[in-house]
Amino acid sequence: MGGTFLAASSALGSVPAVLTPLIASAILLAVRAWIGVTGVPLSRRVSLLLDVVITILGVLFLTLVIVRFRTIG
Amino acid sequence: MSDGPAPATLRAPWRDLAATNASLGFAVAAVACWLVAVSHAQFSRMGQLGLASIVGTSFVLGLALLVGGFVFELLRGNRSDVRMVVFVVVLAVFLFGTACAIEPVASLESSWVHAGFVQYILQHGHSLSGYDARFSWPGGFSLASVLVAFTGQSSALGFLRWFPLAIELMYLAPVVAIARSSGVSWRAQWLGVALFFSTNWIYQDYFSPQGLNYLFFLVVLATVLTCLQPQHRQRVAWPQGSLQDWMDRVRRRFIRRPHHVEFVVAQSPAVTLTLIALVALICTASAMSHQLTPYAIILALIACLVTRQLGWPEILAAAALAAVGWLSLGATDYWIGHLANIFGSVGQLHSTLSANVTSRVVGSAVHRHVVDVRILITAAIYLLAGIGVLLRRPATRTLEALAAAPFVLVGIQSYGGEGLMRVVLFGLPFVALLAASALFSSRPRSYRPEGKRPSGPRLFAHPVRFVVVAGSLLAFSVATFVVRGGNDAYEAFSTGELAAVNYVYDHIRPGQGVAVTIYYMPIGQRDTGAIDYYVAYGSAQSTTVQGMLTALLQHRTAYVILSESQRRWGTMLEDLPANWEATILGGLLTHGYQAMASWRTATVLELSTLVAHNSAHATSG
Repeated sequence: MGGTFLAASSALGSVPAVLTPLIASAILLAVRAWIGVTGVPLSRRVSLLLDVVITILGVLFLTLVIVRFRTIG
Repeated sequence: MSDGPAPATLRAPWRDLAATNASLGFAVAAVACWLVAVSHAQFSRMGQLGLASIVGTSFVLGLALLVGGFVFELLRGNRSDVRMVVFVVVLAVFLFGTACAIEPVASLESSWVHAGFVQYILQHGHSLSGYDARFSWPGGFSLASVLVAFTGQSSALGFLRWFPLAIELMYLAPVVAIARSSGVSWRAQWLGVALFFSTNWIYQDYFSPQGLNYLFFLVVLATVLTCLQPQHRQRVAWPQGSLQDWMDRVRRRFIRRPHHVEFVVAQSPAVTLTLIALVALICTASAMSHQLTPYAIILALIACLVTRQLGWPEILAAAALAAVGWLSLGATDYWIGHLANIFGSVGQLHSTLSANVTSRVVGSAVHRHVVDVRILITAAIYLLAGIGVLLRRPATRTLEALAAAPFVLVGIQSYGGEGLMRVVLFGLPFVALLAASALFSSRPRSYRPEGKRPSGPRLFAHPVRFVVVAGSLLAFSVATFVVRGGNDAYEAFSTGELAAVNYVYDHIRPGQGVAVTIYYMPIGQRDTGAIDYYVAYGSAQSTTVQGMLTALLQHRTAYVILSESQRRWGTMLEDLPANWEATILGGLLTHGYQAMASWRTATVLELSTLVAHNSAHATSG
């Protein structure tokens, strides 16, 4: 399935490809907010990891949106 | 002048009571004048100046009484938020309710088209793909269809007429909350709220997604500024040294709440989480409802973050994800093949400003005056705000950042020539508060000891300030009323015009078309997607009378509607002769059309071949 998914670069602009990092980053943002509000103690490393993952997912999402604009726009 | 509360011990109770009765008397007298003005106004006598041409002197007298009472109340020592709310509500009724009360049906063609979109969703349960760009952001229409069904109405038409007043009154609560959290003095807060309404000439409060989304914008900002601010108890001792420490430093400064900073929130964690979730939900709803507002929200949240007024950057990230996500995935119908519509005007500042300003200063002398006054109002409020910026000594420059943030939109999108107006609208709550700060500076002055303030009404101690504040507010209010209704000569409709449209809807069949010379008609509220609409003006070589007639005859729609609103548009904006519509009527009658129904302000024509066919069909039936 992964091979089929990546067989065409235009598939990167498909709805599932764009939606996946969108949902993932939204979930992690919700977790981050929950941690911040409730005061769950996190080590600096975990805290940094969370922020880096959210940033990477956000950048991935934006990249896929641009790919989507270019391939079907 | 310091804004601290006046000591009650020095105030004679009877003088307070008399002053309260006097100020409320101003409000009651103003309402009485408004009722007289509205009951005596005759819609059919509306001139080129629009609504202002039919309201009479009692309206202006009422507005003057209202503004006088408001400023009297503002300058008194005995403060009451409730009385200020009463005055602002009456001011909103004057400015936004007068047209609703006088005009027989809802104005603006777009509000009728939006009612048609709501009707389509109500009947089919989904939006119509590929029909109209606005259907690519159907959230507002879906919400309206839920509201229509919930209230047991058959259509959204019942909401159209009074929607502007209703939505403006809904803006009041978040605007007051923003003012409360702005850090300006009490008097500047309420004057800012009044200035927000009295300078809002931008007619975006009709039945539309943008009207609803502006409420979303205000609610998000009000919630962020009042409930979701970071509150530090101690300063962070930034770590020094390694790369990771440097990253931590940047991260803590702009993004992450550091562990060793204690955040004090005014509400429990559960309430805070609920508020964050609700704000994120509103941002998502906005992303699905309107093209521009989500980005205005994002810019405003960035302004809050930069000025350290946003305690939860997750909200900003969620708003950005929702806006870009919907544009990419939900509005595909809109941008496939039309990417230039979205990104074509990025960086085209000159052409955007030209489309937003220069191209609007056209038409008859009266109409150009109206447009000039709109520009003057905007320039005056920004000038006053600039003075306020210089006079203020705030703890944070959030208001300034929020007022400036929407201007980024101008560099990105011309928005069909309306971008600059929207920029002014999105900045207006903050610009109004800055302008109010110019008149009520929060800088403390020590010329009068706190304990030696005069009792009773303060305005007698400050007659000059009373005149300046009341004069400014009255000038803004009158000017805004005039220019808001300045297009009503052709954007407001008569019952005859609505009857003509309904006649067509009752007789037209799916697949047939109806044509108008220009879209100023109460049309589009029924059979969305089933009827072909044709507007002669704007198609090739049809900007002259002969050109429009030729276009109508070439297109040969089943029905043509000619009306007084269309005629006024032609004489006011296109400088056409007064009888230009009669020329088109004569041309159509001699080229196969037949007048089927006529009202004093509208005429319906039908293709003669269709008349014969329909008659035969009716006879055989």
